[in-house]
Amino acid sequence: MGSLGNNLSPGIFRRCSMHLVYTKKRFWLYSFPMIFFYTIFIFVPIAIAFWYSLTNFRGIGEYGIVGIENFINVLKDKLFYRCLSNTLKSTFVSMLISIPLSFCLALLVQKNSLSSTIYRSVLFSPYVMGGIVVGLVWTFILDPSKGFINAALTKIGLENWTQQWIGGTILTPYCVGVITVWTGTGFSILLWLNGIKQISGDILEAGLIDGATKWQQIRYITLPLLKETLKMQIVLGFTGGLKIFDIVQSLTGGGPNHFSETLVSYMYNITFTQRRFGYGMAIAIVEFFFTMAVTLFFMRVTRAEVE
Amino acid sequence: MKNTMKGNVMAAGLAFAMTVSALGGTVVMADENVTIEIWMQGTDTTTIKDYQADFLNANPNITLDFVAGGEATTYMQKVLMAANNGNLPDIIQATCANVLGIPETGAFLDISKFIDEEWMSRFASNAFTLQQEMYGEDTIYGIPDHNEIQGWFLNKAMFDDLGLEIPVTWDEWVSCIDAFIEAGITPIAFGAADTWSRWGFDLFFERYGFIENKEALASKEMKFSDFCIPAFERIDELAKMGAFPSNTSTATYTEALELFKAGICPIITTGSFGLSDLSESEYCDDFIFSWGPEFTDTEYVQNYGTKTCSWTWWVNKDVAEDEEKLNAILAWFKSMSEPSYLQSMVDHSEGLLAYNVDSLDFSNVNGAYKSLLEMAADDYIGVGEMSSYLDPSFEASYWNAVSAVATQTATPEEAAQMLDDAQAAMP
Repeated sequence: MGSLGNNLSPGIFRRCSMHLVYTKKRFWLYSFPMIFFYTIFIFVPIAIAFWYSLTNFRGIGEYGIVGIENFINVLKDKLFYRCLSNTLKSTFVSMLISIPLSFCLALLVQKNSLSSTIYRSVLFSPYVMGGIVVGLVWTFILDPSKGFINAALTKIGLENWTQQWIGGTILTPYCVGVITVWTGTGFSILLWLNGIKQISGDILEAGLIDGATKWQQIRYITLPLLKETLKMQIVLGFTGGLKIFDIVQSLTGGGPNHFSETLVSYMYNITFTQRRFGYGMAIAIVEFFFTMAVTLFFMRVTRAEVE
Repeated sequence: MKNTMKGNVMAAGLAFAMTVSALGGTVVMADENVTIEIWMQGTDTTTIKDYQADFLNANPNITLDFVAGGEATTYMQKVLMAANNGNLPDIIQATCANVLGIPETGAFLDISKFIDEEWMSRFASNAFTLQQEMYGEDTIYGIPDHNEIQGWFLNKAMFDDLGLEIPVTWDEWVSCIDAFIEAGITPIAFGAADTWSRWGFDLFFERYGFIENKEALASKEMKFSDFCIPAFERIDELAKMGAFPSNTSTATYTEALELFKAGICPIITTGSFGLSDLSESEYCDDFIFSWGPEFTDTEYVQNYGTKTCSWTWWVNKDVAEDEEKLNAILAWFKSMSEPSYLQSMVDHSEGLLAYNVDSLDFSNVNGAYKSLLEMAADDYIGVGEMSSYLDPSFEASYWNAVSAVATQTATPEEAAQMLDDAQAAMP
């Protein structure tokens, strides 16, 4: 027995042990629901998907084990890279616009006034709309023939500015990113507002006494203190971007010729339209590890900063 | 008194039997209530329910529980999962192509032994052709729902306005399309956003050698690029001419249908399944059906027409364990071959029927319907759509390749390569 045992009386040792047992019991009691549901709804489906990714399962009937063949095929699949590229384009556009825009809007609506509450509600409302509906609404805005933007440009004599916003080979992923900004900015504003509210009024007041202008307050006080919120915005923006599916599905169906297909819509089509369940699950697993890698990278960066 | 009562009971029984007979229904002598669960594609179950009123009145102990399964991919996803878990409903509605792989697992009941000679005589001659090609001469897993033909509808009045004859050969088609473009009319209503709406183009491939080589293609002895590039080149030619609307890549089939129905575009690819929609148009008497262009630069047979009975009511094998339910299902199936039921389908322009229709009255049907009836009975060789001969994994790639060329996002060679890749991925 080590020095701890030598220095403690048996009574104290017993109480500590009891406390430990008591804490462990409580730990398992409180953790069980979370562990149970996490296992059932997260770990088990991932394990099942991983199992099927090693097979040539076609959705029904007998299937065989093909080892890592599906993964090799994913890495050789030109369409997979096109979808990955589309997904990253949408994600980066979304993050580049959404993060600064939502920060500015958060500064504007941070006051506890009636008008700010109304603005917050209006800005948040697209977030609660279903992706399919959002896609349909934006079809009427972006469609090259019947869409509002091209019609408006034509109306004011700027025909040369009209573009194939969706349905072409170039712009659709970027437009999907813009739509994601529209739907996600409300949530980002909430995150910024939460961060802003954490900043002590004393610090801002001290800045004010020192003669800091409004811009200087934001630049040298608010922004540095919101670093953790910014990191969260980046992680959520990135992982959310990798999951884009329903907007694309209703906007273009991934077409034409997969030029607007995202990783998730490609995986869905491979699995359920083409009935190549094994291959579809391999795509899902590759995407899972990609997302995990990105998340872990950000977590590591965050930890380094904290240390 | 007793005799009077007996007489009343007999009279009531007779009246009931006469009513049932007049309704054309089939009475099932079941002791208990029977509920038949039926899954079907789409979102509307009201129409089909309405048609069953006579049968349900005649068989009050039977309930037909129709469940709408949504659009094709979602629906088949549910069907596959149910079949995989042994949870299929009593009956599912699907095409022969869509259920590929399911009958092989033994999930469906072979009902051939229940179809006697009299019942069989009620069906059209091609009613079971596709099933027999797929599962053998003596196997029947389901009752055909419709006789379906697919190809092109043309607005004859719009052709007449420009003094154009109805085209048959490719060159004639190109001349007509040119004339429409010159007149400022977009010739072909086509929405490539719904990649599946490519029916008329199937015949391009089938006439360039798919039918003659389908076994070699299915067994991978032959590549698609060995024969299909000319078919893609014809689609490419149409796109380059400006035959499709400028927003083809984002337009849906429904939008294309509206353009045709409104008399804006003179040509659309669709089929007999679109008849009830087309019948809503004020121009429906001007619509005529066509098998599409015939090609002179190939040696392959040209008089193919996509006409098969593909949509089928498939029966779950578990139904065999419940005799009462099985009898109820067979009675329902049989009720759908009764003349009164079929006449009601005709009167509501519900497409071509999978039954012998000699006794039905078609005098009141519209022009589009008349044209379909003529084409269904012509001497063109009936074939299935391309994907019905190949593994289900091929279908989506084929649709995508056609729409990619139509939207000019792939060259004919690239599209052919897509089909080769899809073929390589087939088991």
